[in-house]
Amino acid sequence: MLVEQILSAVGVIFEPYSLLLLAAGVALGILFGAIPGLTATMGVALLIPLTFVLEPAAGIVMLVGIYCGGIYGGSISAVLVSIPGTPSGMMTTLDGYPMGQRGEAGKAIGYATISSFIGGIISAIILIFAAPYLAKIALQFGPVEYFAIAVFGLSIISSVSGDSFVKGMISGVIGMMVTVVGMDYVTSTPRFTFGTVALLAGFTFIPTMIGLFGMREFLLQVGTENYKYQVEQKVDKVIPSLSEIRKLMSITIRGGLLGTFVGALPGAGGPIASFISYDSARKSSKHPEKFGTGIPEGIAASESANNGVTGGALIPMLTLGVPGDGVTAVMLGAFMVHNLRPGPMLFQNNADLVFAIYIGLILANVLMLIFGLMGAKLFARILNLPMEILLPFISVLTIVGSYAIRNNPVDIAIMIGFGLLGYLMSELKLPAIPMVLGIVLGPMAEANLRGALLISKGSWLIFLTEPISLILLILTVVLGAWPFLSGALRKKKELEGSTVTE
Amino acid sequence: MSKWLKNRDFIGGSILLVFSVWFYFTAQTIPKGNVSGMPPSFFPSFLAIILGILSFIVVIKGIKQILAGSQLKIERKNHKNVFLLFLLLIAYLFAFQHLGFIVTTIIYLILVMLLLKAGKLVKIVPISIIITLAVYYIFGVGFKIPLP
Repeated sequence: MLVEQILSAVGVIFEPYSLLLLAAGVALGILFGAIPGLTATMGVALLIPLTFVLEPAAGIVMLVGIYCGGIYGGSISAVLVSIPGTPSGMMTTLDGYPMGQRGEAGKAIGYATISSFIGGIISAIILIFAAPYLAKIALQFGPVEYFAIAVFGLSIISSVSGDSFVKGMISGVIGMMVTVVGMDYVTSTPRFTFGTVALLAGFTFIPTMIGLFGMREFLLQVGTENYKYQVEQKVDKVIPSLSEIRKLMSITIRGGLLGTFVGALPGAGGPIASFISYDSARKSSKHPEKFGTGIPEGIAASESANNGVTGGALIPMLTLGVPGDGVTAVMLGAFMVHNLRPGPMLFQNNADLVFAIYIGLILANVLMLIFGLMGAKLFARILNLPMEILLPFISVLTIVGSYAIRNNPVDIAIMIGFGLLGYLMSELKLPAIPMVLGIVLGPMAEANLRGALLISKGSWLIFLTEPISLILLILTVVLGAWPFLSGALRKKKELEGSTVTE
Repeated sequence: MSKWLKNRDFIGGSILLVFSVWFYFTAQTIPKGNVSGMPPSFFPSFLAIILGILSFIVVIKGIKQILAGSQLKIERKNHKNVFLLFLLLIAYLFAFQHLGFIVTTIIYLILVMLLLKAGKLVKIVPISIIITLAVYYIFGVGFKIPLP
């Protein structure tokens, strides 16, 4: 049984067409990651509509490729122009850019590539061993536990994104309000539709995501006009020597483990993982004062952790249906398109798909290593593409992508609307990522809250008397308060200086 | 008075507060339906109450900033361009159903690139045509998405 499923997964992945799609995904991911203003999340959001016409496994594995490539690609622009091409690359700029300035840009990208690869592989291995185990535990979860997990995820993401917990929560709650629009799933009563037939089905998920990650970013880039930069460094000697790699090994492995752990927490993603890893590498170093001056240790700590997030973030996404970060939140859309529901049952009913994702994740990391080491020069040159042309092109992709799902112009309107909403929210410093998590968790939170209160006959105390939910809620309070208590957020801000935020 | 109107936390928080009150009362008009559990209006009301509390905190923060004479730091943006882009997108949405994908997209791309000062028309027009045809063939023909 098990062997059959693994064989069937191998069969799907190693088909030339799927391999080609995966390779294209990784390459496109690196591009999206490397070009400032285009993020890994945006890449996944824009390409989800394509997975509609593909086999579920081939399509989802392609998205995994974009994910890995995208998170890694951020390091290229971090080194070359000191702008993280994707938010996770923030900490890489600290040592990557000074190193590039010294004429060692190639070497810096080489370190980033190798540590991204090792971090990614570590996380893939942990995913493979931890996910089935967690799925078994999750089988016993009821409405009380699931509601507690939703609350847990939303507060984690609120405490790490943006500059205020309250604003993160506001963004998350608005996201949940979005999911209320449409027919109630129990009674079929229309809610907040105001007689509009088009809204009866609610706001369609994928156009909403493309709006929040594609259109919003497009409007923000045009608004801030900070897309003018020039790459001047030469990129050569990318491959570091074995002894250099060996010296970085302990930092890289620790980064990969930390990244996987942070990624596996619902809501916490690459930016916070690379920060924690960078900070801990500096604290345990014999020469902490050298961090920030362009040393390989800094690059390795940051890059191994942010790619470590990839496998980690897939753990709660696959086993509970709760995404570990922004990218996996968007990726859920691809499951929905194919009527697949991530959660413990996925491991029983679609085990071949789960295996395909495991294999795809490992292959994606290998491809990323090859492309990164061989193609760094090419990717560096692509950074000089004029954004005045690239941005309009991206905006056309957002339109086509949102239209593709149902061939309905209403979806384009929804996409533009959410793009504008995201732009206006940024004017109040309300971050977008918690909103996305709110949209993903909204239906789950509502169904399970109603279910839990039905069991308890209306008493909210049930969330405190059930042990798992009690532990999760205590963890919520502890983890939610931790960044403030430890002053970690303040330190993170100091390190980031005036760089862009998402 | 302008000090109050310029503070984004105060203004934004107030807007959100009004919104949550509106959301709460609109939720109360949702028919109850015949269910034994929580009615359809339950979760929206719950969210509205939480949003109300959170936005109240932001309003208080705004008032504190005003009294202390400080301001929320926000990057300056070119709102005029963003607004023009928004209008262009709305125009696209209507035009594309009548003129078809290719014509609308070429005109749209030319206008956006002019707005972003991408270069002279001699350069912009061919680029717009190439992008449009590439997208049309990759998505419309390659992935069989029926573009009008």
